[in-house]
Amino acid sequence: MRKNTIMLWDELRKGNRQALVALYELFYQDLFHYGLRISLDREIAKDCIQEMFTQLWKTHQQLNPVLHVKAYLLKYLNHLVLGALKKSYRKRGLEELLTPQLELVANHEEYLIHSQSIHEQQQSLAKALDKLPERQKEIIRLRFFEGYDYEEISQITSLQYKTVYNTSHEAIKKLRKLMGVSSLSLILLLAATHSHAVQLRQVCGKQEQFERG
Amino acid sequence: MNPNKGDYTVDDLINEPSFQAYAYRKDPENIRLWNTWLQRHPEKAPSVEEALFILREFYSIAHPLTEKEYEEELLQVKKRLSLSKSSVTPLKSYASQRQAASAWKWVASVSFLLLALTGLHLWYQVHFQETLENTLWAERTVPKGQKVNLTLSDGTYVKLNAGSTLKFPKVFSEETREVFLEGEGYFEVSKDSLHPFVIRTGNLSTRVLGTSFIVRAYPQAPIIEVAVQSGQVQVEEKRQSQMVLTPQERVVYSKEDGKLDKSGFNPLKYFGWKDGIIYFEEATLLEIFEQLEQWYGVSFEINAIISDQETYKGSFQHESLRNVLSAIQYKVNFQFKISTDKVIVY
Repeated sequence: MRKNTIMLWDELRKGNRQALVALYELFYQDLFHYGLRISLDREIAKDCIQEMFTQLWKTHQQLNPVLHVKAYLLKYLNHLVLGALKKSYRKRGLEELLTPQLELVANHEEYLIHSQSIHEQQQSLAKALDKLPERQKEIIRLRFFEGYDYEEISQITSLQYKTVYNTSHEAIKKLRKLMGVSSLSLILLLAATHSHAVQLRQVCGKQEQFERG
Repeated sequence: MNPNKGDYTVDDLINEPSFQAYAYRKDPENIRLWNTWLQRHPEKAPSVEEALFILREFYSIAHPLTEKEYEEELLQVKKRLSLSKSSVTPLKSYASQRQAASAWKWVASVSFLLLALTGLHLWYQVHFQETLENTLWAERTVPKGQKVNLTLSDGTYVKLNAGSTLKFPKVFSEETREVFLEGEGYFEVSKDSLHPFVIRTGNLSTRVLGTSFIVRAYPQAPIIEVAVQSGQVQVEEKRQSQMVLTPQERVVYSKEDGKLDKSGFNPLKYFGWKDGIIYFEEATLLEIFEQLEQWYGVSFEINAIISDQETYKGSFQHESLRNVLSAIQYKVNFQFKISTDKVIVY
């Protein structure tokens, strides 16, 4: 798979547009998921992916070989999304929303590179959710998937605010334990290891080269 | 949130409303609050990072890309890359671009639906191994409850139904444009008379002959079906018996005796799904539930006695699972409860 994407990348550098479209189709879902996670804004996520692929085509003759295509694309997207966010927040006078937590998220593409595909992640989350007691599951669903706050959930479920808060806490704890080995924590663990740090530096290096080119 | 509390765990952070607001960049005040807290407790940076990661992961998973969005985005990027059939906005002129453009022949769309089964892959696997050596293959698998649109390198458009897998070359380079299907797919094949388009489904192959046609079959079923909407299709069984189909004709292939049977068909039954229509006829309640399981990506738990004699006919377009079940309740007496990915019937 990785070797194949590198071949597609090399095809793109030679000017094969079909290869670029193939990369687009191959990675779109994961890129969107990632872009949405950093921007929390689906329009920004979509626009930046469009922009990225347009740029890739425009500059295909200047592109360098890469070791890991997906890592390169995620890093590139991260760069574009942060730029777009800054612009959008500045326009609305909300620069404060951005610093310094952005520094924290900026390294997350690392995790995704080595992580499962979005479908697998979703499935393992769904599986873990399914193992929660009914009430915990419901509260997690309402809070994190439907976007209600604890006050509203307390009204919806006729439970005390404190109960909602505590139930949610228990659910999160259990969920993290259930998912622990399978995805999130593992991803975080992986990211901490030395070899990955080296790889990230290589990816970043490529990115800089690319921008200068 | 207590600014003096230094022992927030990852779970605490995720559960803390003001931290959630921080993660979701809801208001500057919470950002300030937590940034200050983090400055005071720098050792908590990894916990904050993990909590942010998980909360945003939740957000991203809770707001997935819709099929329609993907379709629109793909169309747009192709336009921007001047790949789209109708597009006339070349980005920049490169010598290599001409090559790509000539490969992109003008084509009339040929459409067909196809479905195959999981069992018969021996030949397919052997064949796949051989071609793997010199062709770059891609594979796309669609989970239950979803559909996926693909555009192949020759411009052929494929819509895959839930629970299906398509293997295809990244770039068609062989004389025949060959793809392998398990499950169900709707195809609009780009016309290229020099390079016939062949869909391999176990022992049965479907070959595009004329301008347009449609094919379809069902997974795990004892039969494979190919239905033609327009144009001509040739169906071959291990290259021994073969049959040409013209519009409004369908062939049913029996996997057991290898027989091909030609007849007419109801278009809704074969093509409805690609337009978001669930259609069933002469279906028992159990069969309907099976179809809904596939369609919505849920599993049914049946805690009621259900007749396997009564059959029903119906169609729904772009309806929620709840609405579909409510509609069926008018005809059949049962109760149901829907949770995350499970439906309990009682």
